[in-house]
Amino acid sequence: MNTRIRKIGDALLYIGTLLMAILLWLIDANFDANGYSSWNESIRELFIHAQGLSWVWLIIIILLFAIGYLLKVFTPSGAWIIIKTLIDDCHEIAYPDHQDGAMHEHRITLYQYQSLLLWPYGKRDWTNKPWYNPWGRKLRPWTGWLVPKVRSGHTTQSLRSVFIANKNRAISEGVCGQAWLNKVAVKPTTIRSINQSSAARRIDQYCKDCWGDPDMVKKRLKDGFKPPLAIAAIPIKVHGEIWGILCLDSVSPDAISESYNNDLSMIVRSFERLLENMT
Amino acid sequence: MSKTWISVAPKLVNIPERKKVNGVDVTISLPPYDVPLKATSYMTDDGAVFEFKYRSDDFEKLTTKTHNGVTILYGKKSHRVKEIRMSKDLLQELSSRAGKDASTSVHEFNMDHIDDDFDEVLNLSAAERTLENYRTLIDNVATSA
Repeated sequence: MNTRIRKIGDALLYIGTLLMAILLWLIDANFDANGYSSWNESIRELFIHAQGLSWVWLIIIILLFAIGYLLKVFTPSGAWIIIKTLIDDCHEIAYPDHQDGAMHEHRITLYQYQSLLLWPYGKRDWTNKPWYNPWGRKLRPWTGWLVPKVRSGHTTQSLRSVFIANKNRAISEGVCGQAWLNKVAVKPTTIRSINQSSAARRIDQYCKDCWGDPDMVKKRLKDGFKPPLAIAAIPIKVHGEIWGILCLDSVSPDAISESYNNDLSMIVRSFERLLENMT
Repeated sequence: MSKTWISVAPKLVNIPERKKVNGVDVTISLPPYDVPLKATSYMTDDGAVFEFKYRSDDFEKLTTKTHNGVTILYGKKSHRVKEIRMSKDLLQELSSRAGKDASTSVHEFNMDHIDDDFDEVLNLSAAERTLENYRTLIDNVATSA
């Protein structure tokens, strides 16, 4: 189905390009000139009429481009569907004892590194930020960001968390940000547990354990979200450079085994290969 | 000369290490991309060569660094170790020190003392562990010497 929708998107873009070429010729043509005098009178009248409606054609072409583009952008390609399947496979390997019940409590998310994030959407809505800077205080679109692309399961697809990935150690955020910065797989040995009634000092300690943003954690606790007590991040490399981070997080402190990185290595290598052919 | 490649088990090579990163206790390990898939060794006229194969490493430009008779050939961008070459002089020095022949001394060669000189080669530890774990299996050097 997705392939068919993407093909329709492609077709609309091709038709739009063809109509644009015809429109440019139509705008430029002078049908009263001698070159067109041999044309059938009724056909010439038709073209002159069409020429008068150039702006209508322009709107139709813009609509064709917009619909074609949106169909392509919002329909995942075959490769992304395979990557989603591989991430679900990773879930089975990483959390063998947590395959039943609350899948959203034991997650795997693939983040992509973006050096430029044009609009942070509502993703950083927990940050105490000034109205004129939606990226957050002292942050810029070019700060460097890890943006969620795919997550395991089907009930956990709300992809909201973006992390700062910057060469400055002090502002790189979360375990993902540290894995990106240090170019190694990282897993904090202990993360102290917190809940909605935890004191601010305890929340700060939790954030220190996993380089978290206290504003984000407080907002998520208020929303009834259980904070993860085990987090691990594996750098995903494409053509020798970090493409993104594969992040494992679970509310159960012992859900992620010490050998998580090696257990997932075969699958990680497979989707690195896929990404290599997509970028 | 045909090379015999030995498959590398990530669990033997990529052992998690406890470290403090930015004041936090963590275990760190190499990304799967940086762990060699296969390894081999052989003798040439210039000395001994240990070679490593990775997933998708054909695109890469390589660079070399030499110190004390050990040359490391690694990826310019990825810093993955492709080859470790030991000169004939070094082999002779090692064998005279140990009172053995050169090919045997290759197996007993300790990489520890060259670590500091190759700091910027990020995944030297993976290549080194591959050698340590597969030293008994990489016997091409001994047989071809």
